[in-house]
Amino acid sequence: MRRAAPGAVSPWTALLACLLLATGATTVAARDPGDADLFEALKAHDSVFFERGFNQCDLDYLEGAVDPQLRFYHDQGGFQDYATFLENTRKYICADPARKPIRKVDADSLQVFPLYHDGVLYAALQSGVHRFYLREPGKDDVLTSVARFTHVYVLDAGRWRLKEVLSYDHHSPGP
Amino acid sequence: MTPARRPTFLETPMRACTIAFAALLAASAFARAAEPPAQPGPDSELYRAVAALDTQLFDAYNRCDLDAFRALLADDLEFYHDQGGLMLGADAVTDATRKYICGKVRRELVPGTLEVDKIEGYGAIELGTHRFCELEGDHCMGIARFVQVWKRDGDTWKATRIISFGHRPLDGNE
Repeated sequence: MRRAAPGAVSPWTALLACLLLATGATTVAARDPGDADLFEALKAHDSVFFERGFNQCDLDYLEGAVDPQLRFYHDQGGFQDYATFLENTRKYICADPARKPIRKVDADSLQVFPLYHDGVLYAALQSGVHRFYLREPGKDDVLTSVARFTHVYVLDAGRWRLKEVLSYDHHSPGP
Repeated sequence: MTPARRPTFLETPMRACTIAFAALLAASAFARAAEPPAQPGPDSELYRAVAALDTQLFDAYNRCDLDAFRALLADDLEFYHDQGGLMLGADAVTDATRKYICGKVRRELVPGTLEVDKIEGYGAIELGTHRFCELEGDHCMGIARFVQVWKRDGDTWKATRIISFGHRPLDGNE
């Protein structure tokens, strides 16, 4: 008898999963580790961070929402520290309202992992997929790039500050 | 009152699922064929270089060759661990390895999990899953995911960031 390769999902398994979902016979599989409250807190934070700091270009907010020791690693753009990151955001993300980059997250792709020190939460890792669009007045947003991200937020007096940013696997959108 | 009617063929869950599933298969095959490769694949020079660095680093870790281990870490390394907190500096990480790892634990990269991407003008990102096992034999106690950032200076590579997260015990069947 032939056996499926390890890790492969057979079409029948997928079909069965589809049927179970269609009939409401199962709940959606739990996301990767991390407790639900932390997941929701970081999901909300990601949303506010990028809406204010990137899409709306609230640079005062952004300056406080990233750690002064920020390290930003970009597959195509290279390494940026705090000062370079803010300068580049001003120059390339926020300079031209007629051609405004917009970031949207794939909410289903989000994963959150807590980081503890002696049982006390000190940081969290959040990863996912996001999409970048070009917004021009009077036109529909145009998808320009899709990428993966891994972010480390550190807790600073009860506030999340973005400390490590890995932005990678940038590619042009498929058809 | 509207009389009850039998659902049409298209409206049955079975039929809807079959169609959706076939469309999904076709769409994913098409997307795969049309998309340019994004991340460097296992045959690329960068992937092989980072895979070799992973082997060097963890061979040293498993053998307890702390000089070789320390030589692959940047002085200002930051190591984020999901149970042990944040460790600052290559010396602190090497010291913790001496105390908690040497003679106790062996690390294995889980085959097929290594991913590599470049950081233009800087180095590379490494992502994967690793297991922690007994020194002798095949028994592994735990599994975790990791991210490492490597900085390249000429021909020398050093890890500047290590994040080890999502640790959980293994149940013996994994």
